[in-house]
Amino acid sequence: MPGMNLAQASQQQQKTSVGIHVGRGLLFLFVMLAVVLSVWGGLAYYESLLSGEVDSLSAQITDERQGMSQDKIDAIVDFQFRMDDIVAEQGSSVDPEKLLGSIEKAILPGIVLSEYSFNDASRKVQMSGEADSFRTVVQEMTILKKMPEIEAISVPSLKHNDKGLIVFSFVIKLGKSV
Amino acid sequence: MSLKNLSFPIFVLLAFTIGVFSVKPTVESILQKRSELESKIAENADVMGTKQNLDSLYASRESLLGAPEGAAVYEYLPVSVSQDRVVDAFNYYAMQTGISLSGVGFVEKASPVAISDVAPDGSADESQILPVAPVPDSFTMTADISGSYEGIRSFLREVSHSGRSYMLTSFSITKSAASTNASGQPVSDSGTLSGNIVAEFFYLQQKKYHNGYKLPVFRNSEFNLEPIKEIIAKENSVPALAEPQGAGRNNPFSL
Repeated sequence: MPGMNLAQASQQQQKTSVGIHVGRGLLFLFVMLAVVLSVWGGLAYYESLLSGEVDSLSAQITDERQGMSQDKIDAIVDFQFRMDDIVAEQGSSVDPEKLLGSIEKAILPGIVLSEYSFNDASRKVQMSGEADSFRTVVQEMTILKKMPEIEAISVPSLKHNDKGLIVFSFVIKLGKSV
Repeated sequence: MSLKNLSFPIFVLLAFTIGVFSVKPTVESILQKRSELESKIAENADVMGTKQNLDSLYASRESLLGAPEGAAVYEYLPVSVSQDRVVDAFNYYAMQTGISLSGVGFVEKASPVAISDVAPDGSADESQILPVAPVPDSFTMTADISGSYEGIRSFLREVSHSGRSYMLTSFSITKSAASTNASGQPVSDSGTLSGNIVAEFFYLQQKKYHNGYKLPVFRNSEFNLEPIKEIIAKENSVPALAEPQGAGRNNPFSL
């Protein structure tokens, strides 16, 4: 047709195409935004459910604990601690029979004891007595030194008495095995 | 620049803001809550188990008190001082072994304050504090004895197997000085010895145990009595007097 502007129609068609394109893009963005918000909301709801469960379990645990009899707990713990103490204490004290038995086995014929004492704090045994000769005293020391339960032996005093006998005194340090 | 052109960057910014400031903390919180929930489920199962074991252990303890094992526990480490029992036992052993017992004395010893005895001051989470075994109280007994060597030896053996928690602090045996007759001449050695024994005896008073249900004993429904049975068996099997061999002799205080 004469006088008709064909370029105007083409411009209108282009505008319509851009409008549809922008409208779909915005819609997509809003949908995506809604999805993101929904996911967040879902997570927040799940979190609140978990919180509720944790609170409910905490309350249940507190109730159960309060329901336990403290008297029964005390009685059981007391019994157990008592047994633990007894077991721990076993063997911590020196057996006097074992100590005396060791000396009995080691005593030489020429020796007579006049005193025997044991002290747990120092882990020492003090022995004094009379011997028929210095040689017997030395032999006795040699025997005692060989005993596994004896760690060290010292002689604080060694002298003749008016009867012609040797008055001696031993201090024996006991080992940890006793 | 038109709003249409800005919509995409705005959306990206919005999504990023929501993601960083809302979704991420929520996800982190969910992970933490799930972990908390798992721990609470385990704790609940533990509490339920403890509750069941509590009843079972209590019933077991009640029945054990009538049995040798349970009775031995309270005899070995009594609740109270029970000095009368110790004197009675010492007197009995003295009579049995033919020695004389004199000069008995007692000294009370205060036990150190255990952590469990200290009142909570709120500085720590009290629910996490476990009770610790209390240190037993004790008293020291001193006894003077006299008699033959064999008698004193047997007496010491009986004391060490007396079925009570004790610690032999010290003991001594001394040969009595030879007595003289009217003319001042020493008479023959009678073989009598004098001795002294110092021993510490323990007792454990009943106490309150805050958070006691958290102790390992509540993980089982029965007490482990094997160690106590072993101790009872050991106490009951008092060995015979050992015969000296070789160079030794029965009584080192006489030739």
